[in-house]
Amino acid sequence: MLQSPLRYLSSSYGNYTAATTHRGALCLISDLIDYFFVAHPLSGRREGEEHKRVMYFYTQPGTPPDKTRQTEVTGFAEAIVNFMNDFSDKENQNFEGDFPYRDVMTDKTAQVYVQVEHGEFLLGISFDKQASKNFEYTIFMPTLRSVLIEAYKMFKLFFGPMEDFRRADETLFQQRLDYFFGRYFSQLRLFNMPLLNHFIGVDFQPLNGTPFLTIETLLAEVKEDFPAVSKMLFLYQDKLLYYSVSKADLPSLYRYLTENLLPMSLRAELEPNTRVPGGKWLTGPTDLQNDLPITLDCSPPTVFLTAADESYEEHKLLVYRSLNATICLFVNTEVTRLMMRNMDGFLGAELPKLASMIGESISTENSELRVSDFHYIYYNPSSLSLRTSFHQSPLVGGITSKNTPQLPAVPQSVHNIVCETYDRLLEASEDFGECIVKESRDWWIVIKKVNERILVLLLPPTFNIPSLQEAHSRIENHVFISLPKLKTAVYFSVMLTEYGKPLPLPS
Amino acid sequence: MSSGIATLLSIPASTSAPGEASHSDLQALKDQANMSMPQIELPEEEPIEESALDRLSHYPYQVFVLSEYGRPIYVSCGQEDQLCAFFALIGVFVNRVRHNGDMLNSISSKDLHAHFLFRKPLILCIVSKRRDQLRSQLEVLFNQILSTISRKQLETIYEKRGDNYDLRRLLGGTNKYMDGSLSSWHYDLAQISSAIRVLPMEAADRNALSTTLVNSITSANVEGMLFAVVLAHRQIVCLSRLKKHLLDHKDLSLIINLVSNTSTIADAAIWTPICLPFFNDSGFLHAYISSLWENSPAHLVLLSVDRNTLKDLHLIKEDFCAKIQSSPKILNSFEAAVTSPQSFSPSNIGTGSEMLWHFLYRNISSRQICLSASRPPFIGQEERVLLTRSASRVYDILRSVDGIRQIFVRNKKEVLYVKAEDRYELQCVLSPFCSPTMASILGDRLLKALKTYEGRYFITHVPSF
Repeated sequence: MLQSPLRYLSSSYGNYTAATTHRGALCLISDLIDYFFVAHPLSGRREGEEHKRVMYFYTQPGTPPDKTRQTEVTGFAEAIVNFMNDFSDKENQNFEGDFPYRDVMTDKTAQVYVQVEHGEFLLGISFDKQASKNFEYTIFMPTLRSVLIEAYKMFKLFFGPMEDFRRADETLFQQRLDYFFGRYFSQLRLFNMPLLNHFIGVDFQPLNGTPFLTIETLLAEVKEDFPAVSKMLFLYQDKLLYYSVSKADLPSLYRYLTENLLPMSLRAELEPNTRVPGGKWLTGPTDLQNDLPITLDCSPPTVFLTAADESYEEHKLLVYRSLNATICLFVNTEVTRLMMRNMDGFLGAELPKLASMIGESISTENSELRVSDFHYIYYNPSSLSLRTSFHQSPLVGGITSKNTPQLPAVPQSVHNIVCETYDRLLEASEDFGECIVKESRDWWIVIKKVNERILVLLLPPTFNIPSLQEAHSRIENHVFISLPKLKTAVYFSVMLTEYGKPLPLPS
Repeated sequence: MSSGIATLLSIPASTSAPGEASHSDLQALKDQANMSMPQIELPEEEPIEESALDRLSHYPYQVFVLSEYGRPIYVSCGQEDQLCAFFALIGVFVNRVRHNGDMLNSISSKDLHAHFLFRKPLILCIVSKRRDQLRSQLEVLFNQILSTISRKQLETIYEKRGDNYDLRRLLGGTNKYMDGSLSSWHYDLAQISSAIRVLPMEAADRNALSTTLVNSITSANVEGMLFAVVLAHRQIVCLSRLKKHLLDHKDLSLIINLVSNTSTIADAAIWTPICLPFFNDSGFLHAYISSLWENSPAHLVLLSVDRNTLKDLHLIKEDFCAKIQSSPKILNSFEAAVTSPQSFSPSNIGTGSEMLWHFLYRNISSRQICLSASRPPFIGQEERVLLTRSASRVYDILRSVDGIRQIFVRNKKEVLYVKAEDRYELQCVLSPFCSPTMASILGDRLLKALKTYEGRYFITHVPSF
């Protein structure tokens, strides 16, 4: 279980370069944070051994480790967690559902602590306000929380629950934390529009009936022929088309695939003379011609997927790619070279055909969702569909960058207004709501919430809206005409991905 | 020096020297503690500490004031001695962060929000189930403390008396004013909008009243007399001031808090030192506060720099009252305004006004607000609480987020329409069926109507003497 998936975490994001992302769209988190820690409070209960609760402590690269400070920071966090507990109803202090959190604001920092695994572990992160200002990053506490929780979920995806791991081997646990989070935080990038990191979602590819049916058929055949495959996921470019993993695991898996694994392989594909006919494996051993047992160093990564009873099941992640189509197979038995060879034979023949079919079908679809004169974010928490004009995809950078230069850059004050009005004016407990805000430099911000679905529109001053009346009619007449699918999605509760076919629910 | 609200014209026994009384109580407690055996004491104390702790979660909010050395000064639920550990913890949090060259501002969890304010040598902390305007509440509470102990006194007291000095000795008896300052955030829209309310009155009647007031003051010619205010129902009826001196709205709200939380004014005038921190935070003024007639909700407040002017101020009041009584026109209009105030009715703005449920207009330069008269659905206490909460949230957002000019929000129960311009802020609560177009039409009509009736709802001129 302990071989490292980390070699798949590339040391840098090859495609997230200044060339494909327009200036200020993304920030390196390592430029913004002061520290991140994982603490196990129970381990530091004994006097004189308080430092033992520190399982991992990330600081700015180049800062020497300071044990006293680590103990202090984690002790302070623990005290703050307990302090607030004294004021809360004892009945409400349970760990079901959400992750209990504490937001701490000081003049210089914004900190978040999150309790995971029934309070066994305390995770904390601290953003430096001055650095955030320098990088024009807007501090929005719910986003900071999401970032912290996502970091935990990503670790759990590869290593399973922390407590099980710590009990099994604390030293190795600490080494893995160090290796994983060291890389994770040195390369994680955050959107300057904080809501995009707050809404935990995936980008679905809308698709017509026939290609979608073909995908379903292909995946059914794979399952039939290779019973070891228990779950699957299908991507085209960096957009999701099909998944049968639990929705709880989907965002982390999707991020790992689109932000780490695929960009790495894409770089390899861009090298001349490396194109192979058919398709190729992105994980596992490269040499499939022999039948030697697969050793740890070339084994496909292990992932811990949520099972129906909310426990965890180990799976091997096999990723196969052909043209722009990527298929992920989660195998819950041992992976052999023979198995991979057989799968290669099957997928290599079918996947390229399917990929071209999808390619043709969506070239007409995509143009419809491209807008050039305003920004939008659409999020559906029940399907996890997240769609935005801000998105800077490394895989289809060429397509999106055509639009982005025409979109005016959003000032930081507008980011702040969007976040605060979303957080404070729309009732979180309500499924419906509407909010229109005018900013002093004539930006108009519109947030609509219909049956939980959220649509955020940012209309720049070039829209030239003189009054609230005008804003209202322009949204109805212009914006929704440019984005008919968003209107349908928002008003008629139809999922963006549904084009005649409902999205398959996780099995 | 006695700086508490102590020196009264007729002195009720209970407040004669509250600082000292509590001091002697403490001393008695200490003596008891010294006498009893620690083994016996521990099991007795623990359950008490538990119960005070248990109760913490039942309050909607809790406010702590302590010295920077962690010594308890005030807690809004009372019994600060039972919560020593808590005070100490708050002190440790704030000092730890300060130690790192930083300042702790707030801690939040899902349904609880704590805010911290460090104003050397005091630490103020509020823990509340609501998140809006917590910092403002602490700032106003600190001003309230400054009105009893001037900043100069506060800065030197611990140097003179040592870190362990119990500030409650100086604050003795003022807890009700601190309680009053905190509770006003839950009903008083003037407090929430950091402004003052003006009692609606025809401009001519108000002018006649303030001219009469100025006449009484000028004819008495009292050295050191600075300000005169007529108040009713926490609203300003009229004001006058010594030339070249201005009364800040924050100081005025301290005076309002003082008047509305002193129950003895109904029976007799009071004479008390008060520090108005925005006028001068290092010294005290002397306030003479009296009802204008028996059982009247209207009060006259006269402020002087000279502590020996009590008799003179009393004469001004007598003269002012006599002048009002002798003019039936002034008396009648004044009585009518005080006994049945005519708030702005939304029906003044014509068709569609039934959609406008409530509004709050705030003039930015004068810091005066105008509220609509109560109407359904904001009649009952709970309904009014909802209204103050939404106003509080809007103000919190307007103050903490830069650059908002207009807001239109539709929730299940209501539409909220806010317009923030350089000269004014307007927030309206409307029917949930109101469209953005209708909201902005009603808003514009309302602004026009307010301009027409400006003299009735705002004080546009403060006469000086």
